[in-house]
Amino acid sequence: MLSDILAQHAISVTGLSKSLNGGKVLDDVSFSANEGEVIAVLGHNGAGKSTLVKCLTGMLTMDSGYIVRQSQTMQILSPLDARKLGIEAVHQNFGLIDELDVVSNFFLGRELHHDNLILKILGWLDKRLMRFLTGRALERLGCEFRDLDRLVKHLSAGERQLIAVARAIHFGAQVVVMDEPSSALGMSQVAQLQEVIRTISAQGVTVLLVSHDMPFVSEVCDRAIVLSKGRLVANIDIASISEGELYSYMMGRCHIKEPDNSLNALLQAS
Amino acid sequence: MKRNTLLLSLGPLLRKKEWFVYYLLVVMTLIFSALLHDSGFFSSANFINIMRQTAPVMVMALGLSFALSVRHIDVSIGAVVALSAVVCGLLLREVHMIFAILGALSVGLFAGVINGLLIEYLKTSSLLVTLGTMSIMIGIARSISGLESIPITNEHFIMLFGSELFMGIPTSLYWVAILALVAWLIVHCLTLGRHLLAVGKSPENALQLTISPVKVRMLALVMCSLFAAFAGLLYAARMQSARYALGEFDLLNVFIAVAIGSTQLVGNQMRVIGVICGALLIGLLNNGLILLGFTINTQLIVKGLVLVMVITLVHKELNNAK
Amino acid sequence: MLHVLRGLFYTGFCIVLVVMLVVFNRVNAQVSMPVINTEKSRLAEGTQTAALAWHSSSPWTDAVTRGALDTFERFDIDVIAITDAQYDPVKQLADLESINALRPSFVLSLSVDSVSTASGYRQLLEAGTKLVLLSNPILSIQEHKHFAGLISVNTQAMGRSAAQLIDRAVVHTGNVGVIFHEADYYVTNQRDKAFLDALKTYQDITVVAKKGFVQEQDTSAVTMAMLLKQPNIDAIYVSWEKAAEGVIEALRMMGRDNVKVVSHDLGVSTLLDMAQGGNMYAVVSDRPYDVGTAMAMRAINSQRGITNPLLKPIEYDLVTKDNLEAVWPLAFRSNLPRALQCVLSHKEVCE
Repeated sequence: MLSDILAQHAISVTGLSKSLNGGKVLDDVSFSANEGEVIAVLGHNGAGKSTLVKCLTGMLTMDSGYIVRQSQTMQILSPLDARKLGIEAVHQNFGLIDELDVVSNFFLGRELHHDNLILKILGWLDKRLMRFLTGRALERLGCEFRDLDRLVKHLSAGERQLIAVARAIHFGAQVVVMDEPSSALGMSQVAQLQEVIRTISAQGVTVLLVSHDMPFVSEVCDRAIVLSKGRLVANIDIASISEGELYSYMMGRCHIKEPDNSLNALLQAS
Repeated sequence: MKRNTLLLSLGPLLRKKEWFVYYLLVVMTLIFSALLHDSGFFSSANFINIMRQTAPVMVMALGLSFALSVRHIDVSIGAVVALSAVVCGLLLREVHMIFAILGALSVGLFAGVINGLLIEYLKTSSLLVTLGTMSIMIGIARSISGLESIPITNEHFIMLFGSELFMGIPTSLYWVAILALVAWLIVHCLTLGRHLLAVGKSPENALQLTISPVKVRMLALVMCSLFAAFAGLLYAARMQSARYALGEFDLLNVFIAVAIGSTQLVGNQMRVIGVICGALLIGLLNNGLILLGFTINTQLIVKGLVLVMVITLVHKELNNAK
Repeated sequence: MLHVLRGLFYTGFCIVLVVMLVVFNRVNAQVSMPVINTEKSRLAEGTQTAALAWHSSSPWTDAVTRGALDTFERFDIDVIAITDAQYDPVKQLADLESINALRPSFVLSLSVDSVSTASGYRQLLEAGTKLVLLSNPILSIQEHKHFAGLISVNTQAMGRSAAQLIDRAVVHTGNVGVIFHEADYYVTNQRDKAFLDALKTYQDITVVAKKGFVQEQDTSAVTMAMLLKQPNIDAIYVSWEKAAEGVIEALRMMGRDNVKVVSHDLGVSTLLDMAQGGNMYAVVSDRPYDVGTAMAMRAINSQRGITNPLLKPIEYDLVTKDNLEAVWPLAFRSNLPRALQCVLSHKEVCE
């Protein structure tokens, strides 16, 4: 039944609305994603893409709407809720603290402690373990960091973005949301990133990508949802459209038929 | 050629702005030692004096840097010192020393919690709120002490926190060392240190990473007041009495100590050794100037000059928020 | 590179400022003799030293200091430090400890708080320094063998004289407001109490308001509050002259020319007001120069084993506009300040 249908999807967002400063930024947005799908979020500037990301990661609270996951309906009211749902994000500003070093930033908010009970209560950091894990996570993205103790403020924008991406991927158990993840990366790094995205989607992680990088999107995404002025106007299969059409969607120039795997269609179909 | 390379090699060292306080300390010690070579300045007795006099200021400065690292300015520390000392003095007359100490420290705890609640939940300026709580606490201290000095005669207490020598060093200094160690551990080895810095530098990013800036800041304020309450204990033991006016004149010294010991006053990583050296510097200055025979006016002017010099050379206060 | 130069420049600038300060300080010291450094070369074997640890700075303390310095000089004793605790017991304790490092033979001091500063004095006594205290007693150390004595101003007599002056001010009948020192400070507490007790004997004079202050700066506001509540006041008593300055300021602001103020000790601002026929009516003044001399002599005598010498009691004067010119030199052993001289000589224009 409906519940079975919903259960297929790794995550469904229903009726998401959000107003900011009196204006409606997101208006009844609904979509669903399967495990391992890589979905592009497209739309013109100000269509609400970043707001969508913030709602999904708990930085903003939805005015209405809810998330359905494994037959459980819930709301994301804080970053902690998002983390519990297994949603990780790479934000546009990378979400790093400049005065801390790479390892600290990687594990910020989920630091690892020594096994001893007393030390755990105190919060005594297990720096060696954290450094090891950070190094390994970064290696997976193919970056060589000579000195993990360097402060983030001394790194280039590309290096910083890689840390943010590596962090989201490392901790993202179910859903990884990325807001312009390739903006500061060089070509080889972009290729590396695509490779990693493919790997984790093969492992069943859902990936949501907000991006203006067309080759990147067409290379790695299965589907695209298009936002325009806060409304979801298209939900398309990337393989089935041409590059030109994809481009127009990105620029926000095209509106086509209603999405055909929305909740309504499913209900009608069943 | 040689001169250039010498300057060049000195360059990076001199450019390390955090080390300025250490240079200043060394320079000042040398200057005073030279000027006062026979007046007993460079004697161990005098140095112990200086340390003894600055112990409470060091503790207050450590506490204050917790609050400053999360961008909160707490001016009520002087009042906490007075109230905690007065409470301790009154309790020592009635109950066992342990309860008096706990009572004094709980004054700090309460003050910190109240400051934190008011600042975080009213979302207002920490400076203004703590000005208010300072006034309240001084009023309370004055009423319960009847404006008199409360004598403290409990020998164990005086020995534990005061100027009595234990293996040649006043006991108060052992406490300063312990508290400094605690602060250092927090900054370098505990999660809290990182969270303090994260919240101080970028609360929004910290929030994204499920760190609660409100909780962290409240904790920082509580630690600030707790340290100030401890300084009250040190004062009570040193003066062998408790008075509502304790800590009144320290506010300036404590802020200068923290300012000298760091490269940025508000929202910066705590620098334990820098702050201790800053406090030591002020103590040295006061002591040296007295021994040189200067009046109090000179002391005030020199302190102000040092502060201005440090700010010009070292500080990089951010004018625009990140 | 530029960093280094800039740093050196600023440091040099500050050093120049400090040097200027040193020169300025020496030249402009309020005390007639500048404070002296110890130089081992000048100190022959057996030269003795002294230090003065005061509670604050004022013309009064300067006069005491001068009395002490002149006396010590007669005996070839160097004064190596003069400290000012600004009424802060913590600072006074620190001052005493610093003085102890200089190992003086004699210390003259006025204690700001008998309980908190006791340990500082005890250290000095244990080290063999002869200590003379002024006005505020510290019972716990006065038994010590090196304690030389307590010089007190005659608080009872001064209090009674102040009552006498009030009587003169209101011409035997009237309402009085009292602005007293609300802190634990022996000398003012005793004086104020003596005044109040003596005032009771004047049946037609009533105390209609009493307000306390802690810091000298507070008296202006206190006075205004008092007068707003009790406008029918003919005279006001204040604990000492510096505090009286605020009272006079308040009276001027409220336009109350008819209220007369009585206080203790000589101070230039209040005396100027007195000389110009303002609110300040009279003060009771002791002889601070003589106080200083007495303290120094007590210290020196104690070292020579002369105890309980027959010292004259410190005299005091009732000072009004008429005898002001005569009393100042007696009390301070210095010339009347130029401003006062000018006003008293009825010049048209005073510089």
